[in-house]
Amino acid sequence: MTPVDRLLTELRALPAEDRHPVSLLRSFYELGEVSEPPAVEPPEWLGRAVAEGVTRVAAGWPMNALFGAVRMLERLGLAKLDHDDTYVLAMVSCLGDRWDGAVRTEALRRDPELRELVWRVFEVEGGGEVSLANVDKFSEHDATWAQTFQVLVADGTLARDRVLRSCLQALGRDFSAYRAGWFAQLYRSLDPSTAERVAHQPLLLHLLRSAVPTTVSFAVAQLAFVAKAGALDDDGYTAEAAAAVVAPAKSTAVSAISLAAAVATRRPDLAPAVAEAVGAGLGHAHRDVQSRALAVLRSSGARDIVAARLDELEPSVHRTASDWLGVPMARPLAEDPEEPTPTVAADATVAELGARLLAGHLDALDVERFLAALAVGDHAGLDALRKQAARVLADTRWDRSLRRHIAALIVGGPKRASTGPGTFLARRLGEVAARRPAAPLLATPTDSRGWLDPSVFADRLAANPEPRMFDLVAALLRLAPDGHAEALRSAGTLPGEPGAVARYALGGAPAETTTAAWWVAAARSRKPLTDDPHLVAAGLDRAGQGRAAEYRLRLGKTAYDSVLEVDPAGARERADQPTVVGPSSVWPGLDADWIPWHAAIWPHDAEPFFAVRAAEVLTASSPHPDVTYGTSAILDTLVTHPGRLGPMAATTLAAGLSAAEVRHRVLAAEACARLVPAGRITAEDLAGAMAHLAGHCTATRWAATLRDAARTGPAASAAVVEVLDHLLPRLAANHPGLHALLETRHEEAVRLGRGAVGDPMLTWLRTVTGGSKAARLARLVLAEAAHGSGQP
Amino acid sequence: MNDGDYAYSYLRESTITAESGRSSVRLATSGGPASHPYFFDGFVERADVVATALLAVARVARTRFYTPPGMLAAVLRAADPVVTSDGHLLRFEGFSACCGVHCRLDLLPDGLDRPPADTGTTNVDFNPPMRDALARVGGADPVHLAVGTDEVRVTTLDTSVVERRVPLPERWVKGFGDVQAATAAMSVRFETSAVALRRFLQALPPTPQRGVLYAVPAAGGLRLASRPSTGAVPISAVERLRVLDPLLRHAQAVHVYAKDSGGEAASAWQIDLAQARITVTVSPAASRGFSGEGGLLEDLADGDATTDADLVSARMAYDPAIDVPALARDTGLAEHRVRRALTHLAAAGRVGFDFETGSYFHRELPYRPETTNARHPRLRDAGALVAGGHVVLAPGEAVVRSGPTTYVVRSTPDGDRCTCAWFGAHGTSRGPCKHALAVRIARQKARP
Repeated sequence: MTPVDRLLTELRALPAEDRHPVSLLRSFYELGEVSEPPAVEPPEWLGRAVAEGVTRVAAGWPMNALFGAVRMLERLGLAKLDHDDTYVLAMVSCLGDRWDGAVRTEALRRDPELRELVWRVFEVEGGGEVSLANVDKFSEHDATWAQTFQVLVADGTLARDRVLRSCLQALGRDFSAYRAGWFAQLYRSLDPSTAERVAHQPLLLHLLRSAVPTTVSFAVAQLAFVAKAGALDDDGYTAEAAAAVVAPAKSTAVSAISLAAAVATRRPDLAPAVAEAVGAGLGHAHRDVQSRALAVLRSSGARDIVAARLDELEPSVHRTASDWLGVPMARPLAEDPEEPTPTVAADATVAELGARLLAGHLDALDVERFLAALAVGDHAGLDALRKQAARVLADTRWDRSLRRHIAALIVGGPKRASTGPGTFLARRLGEVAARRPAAPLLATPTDSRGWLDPSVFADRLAANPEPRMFDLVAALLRLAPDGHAEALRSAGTLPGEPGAVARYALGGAPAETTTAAWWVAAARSRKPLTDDPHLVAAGLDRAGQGRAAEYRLRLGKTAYDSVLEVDPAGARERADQPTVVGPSSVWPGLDADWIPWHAAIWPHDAEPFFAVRAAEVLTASSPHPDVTYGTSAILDTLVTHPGRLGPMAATTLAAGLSAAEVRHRVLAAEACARLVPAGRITAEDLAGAMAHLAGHCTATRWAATLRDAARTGPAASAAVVEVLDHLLPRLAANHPGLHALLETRHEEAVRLGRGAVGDPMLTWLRTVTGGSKAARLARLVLAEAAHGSGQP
Repeated sequence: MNDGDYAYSYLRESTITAESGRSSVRLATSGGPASHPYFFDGFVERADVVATALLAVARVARTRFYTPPGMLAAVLRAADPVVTSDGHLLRFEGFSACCGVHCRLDLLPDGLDRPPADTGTTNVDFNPPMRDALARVGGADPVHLAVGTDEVRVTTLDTSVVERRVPLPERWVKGFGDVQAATAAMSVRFETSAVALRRFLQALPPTPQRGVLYAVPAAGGLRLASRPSTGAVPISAVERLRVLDPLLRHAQAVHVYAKDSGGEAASAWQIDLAQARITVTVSPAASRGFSGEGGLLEDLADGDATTDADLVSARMAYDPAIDVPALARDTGLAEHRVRRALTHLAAAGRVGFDFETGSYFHRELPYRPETTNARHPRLRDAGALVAGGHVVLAPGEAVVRSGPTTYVVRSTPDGDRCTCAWFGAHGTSRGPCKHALAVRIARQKARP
């Protein structure tokens, strides 16, 4: 009995539930090539199963050459299949072997019918795992479809011109950018001659209208070869050029305009149509494209076209065009950014708050209100959340999260929350969970920004003279800077150490420092940013205790190697002293859902928070960023934190301006537009932080985000210019992406009508010489400065 | 979630041919008022614009803008777009496979050389060769467009029926209706230029955007903001709007619509073209459709609305805009009840909404829309809670018992608030929870 007869015999006995279509194909594939027809009658279900197998491999890539079995089954008459799109995709999926290119090449060489069918791969796009682009992406270089075509074209098995034309026809189909790119790459890899490109010109012209930007770039590049050979179809190109001059890639748009300009020179009769097409280039985002389009339009005297699109131009191009047209330059109006407003309803019940917190909406004020309710024994309606809370507790994803602690509070089992380190916040939750006799919390903020009114604090302490340990620390750190004198009078008779600590925080006399944590909190509240002699004398002289701390991020080779430096050195993080943070902070190791509440610990000063959080933003901002989960919340804190924003906040903002993710850049642009004009982070400090991170951040992203910031209003635009005037002199003349920063500086200065440049910047600009884009822009800025100062 | 296969049956495949140097687009039809309706056979202005716009509709209909985890190898079985003729204009609509993007192209009467021959809604075949051919159509000349085939042609052609089966998930069919109710609750937030929108889209990084952001007008165009503000339009997964990019070079103006409330919400982006309009509506998040948008569930919870909807439906004609006062007069219903009935009909896919006229238009989806109401599980569950006597009303609040758990629904100036986990997660951004709906239904029933 032959192997195929043996297999068919086995299949005839196969139970229905074991007839797996792809496994079936694999069984025939493992037989190898069979040429003799089987003597055994095939099972009646075989044809249907093979068809189902073809459908499955057309949808999912099996990564080996099962299609050979399909062809064999057809040849042996064991399967009759429609050669439809599914069949073609099955061929794309598994005609070849992922590791061995010869399998596919040989299959096509020895199967004439397949060589006719193979042209259909240029017509069927595919999707998911199965497409030419995707199969090749995950195959060895020598085993790709592209390599197969190159080999078979080289040995004459497949007609070269048909392959080239098929590539261009495929590019003209409505395929996705990912899958279309494969055909452009194959065309290029076959290195068509000038004569071939000229012959393909009608197809190339059609591609200028493609919805895929890279296809337009490809077509323009190929047509440039045609034009160089003097064979460009001027009429055809003029009719299609408008679509190409708005291609996103600057180089493509500029090339398309240059080709059009040459047409207008050769064919004056086409000049009006060329001007219409080139006019679209004034709407391009890039000033170089606009400038090139404007130059062409000026040379053809197309004033109406320019006048109609003046508002679309970048400031410097706008000014040139206005000068040419003899009209005053209009400066676009802009609005100032609105102040953020809290969105949480103040009257939410404890159950409503609990539901929100369990769902992951962990607003700091909501957490505080929830704790405040639990502390006085308000559990109304929480039973409705027990099932949801139990699910959170059972889910290991939340092991180091705040919502797990919230869930534990709801089900009433404080021990169940004790995963992760005992941070200050975890200990506060523990105090509430302990359910001592009901007593109101001291630390619940009295305003939406997280401050605690000192008089309210004094009243609360009077009503609860034996406060919870961590609750009193939290309350002391939140004391608002105003109203201390009145509150101090109210606190004059408060008993015990809590009373003494409260009075000291409010500006009263020092006393014996028995409970260090309380006194540290009181000192950081009393004079947040300066040393406290009383605590220093008492031996509490570490950074963040009696001493005001300063922080700096020491950078390693990559964004992941940064180390926090604290001055004075020797700070050791303690759960009861949250103003003390050290190089080995526990905070970044926790779930990102702690971040809003963490940021609200000390409203006076954001530095300890950003000191331990800046590294994550730096990770999100590197040229090859990892996915980060807390970056949005950290950047949001820049805008919402009411206290001092120091060097670490500036470092965080500098990193955020270079973030890879659009949401992070939006947050950073808004923070820049609010904080720098308001002086909360000075332009000089931000520039200093950017210079510090320049080796890790991407300058072109900085430029784009600063442009976005500048567009929020005139004050922000001026702030951006100021930041760049401080930053640029600190960068090397060959810093990657320098041109983008210079361009942003130039355009915003023109928009503001501010040509003046300070001495350090002036000196630096003169060092940027040569023919680079940066050097050209430096000369523009210098010329602007000379024009502004009246110098020649 | 598969609702089973839906069968398209076309008399032939749609084709594009060149006739006398002009492109001729022949769209085959399936289902609706007849097996193979015949709506139009004439010329439409601007072949390049029509071809690009039809491709945009087809692209939305065959795109999955969001792939849930675990579905990476999913095969896309695209559903065919639908076309509605009201006797004046033609509206082509497509809905994405992920249920998050709706696209509608209106070919306006000014651009048609004659009125459509009939009224109704049908599917049209957009096969791959047809799309390939559309991508090659260019030039500013009129294009010959046929939607369906007249009887004479049917009898003279050697026809062979083209049949295709596609799985239509329940949420896809429901979403196609829901989006109409969502758009009816929107108003124009700002207008901008095609250049501004193109720059905005081209400036987006290639990485997908996470979370909701806001598009706001800024110096020189549009920018993204992290917080809502006056005139801001919420937009999630903004890269979905790139489907509009090929149309922007033909655009004359861009109108952007959204609900007035801040936070995560749907938005609609309407592009004015020469004698045509195209509107892309995007859901509040890439991973979800339009469920609960536009106060839909509140309207559906009104028991009277079902009866009213039947009454209004019987009086509707395929007019370009549904005249609410006239319908109110015809039916004897108050205008607000007519509007609520129209929301009901929108969710059932029986009317669409047109921003330009600010009114509904009649269209009947060919996808068994009559069962749509049963596809709102929150509404179904709320009805069951009321029927089971699990809702106890009290002034200012209500108690809803669901199994062993008791929920409290409070009436506040911001709307009803519930203590359930669903409300905690979504608030009012996705419409009311089933407990709040149950309370609403119970209050209606308790009215004298």
